[in-house]
Amino acid sequence: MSSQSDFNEFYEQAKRPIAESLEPARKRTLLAWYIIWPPAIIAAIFCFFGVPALTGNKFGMFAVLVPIALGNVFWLPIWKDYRSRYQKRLTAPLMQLYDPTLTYDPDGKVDLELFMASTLYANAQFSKQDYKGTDLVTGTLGKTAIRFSDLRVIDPLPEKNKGEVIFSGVFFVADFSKNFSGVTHVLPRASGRETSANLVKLEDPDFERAFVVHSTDQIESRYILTPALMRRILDFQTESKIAVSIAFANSNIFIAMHDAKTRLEPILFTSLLKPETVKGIWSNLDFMTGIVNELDLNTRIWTKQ
Amino acid sequence: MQIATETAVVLAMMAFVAIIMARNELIVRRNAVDNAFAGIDTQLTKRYDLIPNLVTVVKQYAQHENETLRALGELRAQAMRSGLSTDDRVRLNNQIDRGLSGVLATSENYPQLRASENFQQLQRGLNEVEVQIAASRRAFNAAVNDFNNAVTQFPLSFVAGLTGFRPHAYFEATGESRQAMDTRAQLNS
Repeated sequence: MSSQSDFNEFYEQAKRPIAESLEPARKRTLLAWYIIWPPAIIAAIFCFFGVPALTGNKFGMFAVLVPIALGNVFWLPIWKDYRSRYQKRLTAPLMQLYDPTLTYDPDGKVDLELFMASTLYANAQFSKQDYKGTDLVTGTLGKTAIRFSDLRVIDPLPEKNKGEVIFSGVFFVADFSKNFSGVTHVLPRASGRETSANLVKLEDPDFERAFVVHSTDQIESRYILTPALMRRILDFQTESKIAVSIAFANSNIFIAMHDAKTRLEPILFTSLLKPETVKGIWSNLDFMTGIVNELDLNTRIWTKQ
Repeated sequence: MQIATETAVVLAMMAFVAIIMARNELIVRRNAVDNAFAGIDTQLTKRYDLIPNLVTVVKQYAQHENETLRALGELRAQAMRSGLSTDDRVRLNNQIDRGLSGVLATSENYPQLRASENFQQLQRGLNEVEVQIAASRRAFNAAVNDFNNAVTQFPLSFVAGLTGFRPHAYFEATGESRQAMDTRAQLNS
């Protein structure tokens, strides 16, 4: 992982290609956005209210789909071109400098099998098509293999004719520093979620106020959740202000960060010439990879190496 | 008169059933305490099993430490004797903790020993067992807390008094034991 001076060095190298190539591309893309979307939205509003009134057919409101579809036809190629340039000229080199072991796949996501292996959402009903994600980052920081991506998982609930969000946020998976065979869940107490495993009552009152712990093994849950780790998890949630659900399974730690974002998607509405814009991406990467240090996952003084 | 008798019989039966249920609840919680103690026992046995290997490996590189190693072996033999009280076992295990930390601290003076793969594996094994013992102890204390709450709070306290259930003692980690763990963690870092 790199420091502030590394960022400054990177920015010095990157600002010229950004200014010459990426910023003009962003401005062109933004202009296209203004040309395409405001008229498409106005047309959609007209279709929604106007077409049924003019034709007397209540199904006329479905004409709203026409301007939206047309807008997408024009918009998507422009956006994809900008997204590709952005990743090639900014995200990928930034990530390489940040840590050469990190790889970035803008269209990738944490595997569905891995998501299910966390058992955090074992009872959720959804198909593969309802499991969507972007911006997969993988790598090994010290001794700890990590992977994370943005995810949005929806339960389509066809009988109720509306979708329910099962999980939306960043899903982070890391190799844990100890071996274990059971499953332990650390869930926000406020969520009111329950699992089938047994309740574990821990000694830290602050931790108990913030989280509820269930595990298949009372001793193993305490082997994992040492007083130091409980404190670190609590500090992480307090400082980041992100609600987290954590699962320990298959000797891995799974962290579901609710409503969080990797922020690796291209920036469109802010100038890339401002250092703070690029610094924002760097800081977010710092935050995600910093979890390894925050939770002390690189300490390997036990039988797992 | 008959109604009064019938009511008394029904009330007596209800009280009897309630006492049986309360007693069963206490037994469930006491069994949880026993199970948790068995967890500690398993880990202590694992530690006893590691000591002879540690002694053998250290002897190969650090012949001047024979006295320390002999003392550690004796403590192990004493701790493994059957019929020891819980207090004696806790005391002996705390002494073993200190003995192990002493051996690991001395290893600093023997670079060849520190570099030995066998020694490093043993050190990891000991750390692992140490964390498992701490976890088992915490699980045991949580089970004891649950049991003691039941024994001392009404209405279960009433049944506990009738049936001879008494609060259980906690398994406290001594300052020495915690210090021993810290020392080991530092040695490994």
